[in-house]
Amino acid sequence: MTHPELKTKLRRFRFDAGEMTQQALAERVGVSRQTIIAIESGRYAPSLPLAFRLAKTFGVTIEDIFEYDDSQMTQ
Amino acid sequence: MNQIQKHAWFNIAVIAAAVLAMILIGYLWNWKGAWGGMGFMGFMGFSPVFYRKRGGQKPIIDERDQLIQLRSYLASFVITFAIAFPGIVLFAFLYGIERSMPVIWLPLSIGCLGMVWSLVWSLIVLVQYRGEES
Repeated sequence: MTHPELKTKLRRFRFDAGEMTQQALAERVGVSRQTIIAIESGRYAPSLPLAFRLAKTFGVTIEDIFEYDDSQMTQ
Repeated sequence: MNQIQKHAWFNIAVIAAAVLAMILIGYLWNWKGAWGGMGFMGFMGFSPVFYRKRGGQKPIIDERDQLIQLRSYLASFVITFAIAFPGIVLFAFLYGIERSMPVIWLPLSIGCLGMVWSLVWSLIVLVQYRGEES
């Protein structure tokens, strides 16, 4: 289930954090590598606790990592 | 491939083995006894093995995996019930409500519905994970 209204900069934050691998990030936040891949490709929208853990890993806010685009929502 | 995908493939392999066994028994021996091949479905009881601890670590089944499992269970529930209830009506239509039907139909029906449930669950799981690296 894709979420076109949700944009993510997770991959950029991961690379900026010393080119952290998807596996390393997955282990830090307690999910599988497949889930990190799905989040980065927009195929999965994380739960709020997971979004908070991701933001805390990079020392930023959720809004820094995830962007919500209202215009993509269907009426 | 994660543990849920392995579980799904295992289910499909067991169902294929059961169907093959039924065909072989029927063809080589006796079609009445062919339904015994459905006993292979019992191997699905070993599926918790895929979720055991290994190397001191539990396999990761995270929120996305749980969501995929939930969707798969919902789909298999809907499809199995969509087959089961018309099937019940069909039996009543074929045999009539005053007559009795052969006893073999009961375990056969349960076995076939179990096959449908497991097959649908496994296919929906694999479709949701398609194209993903492990």
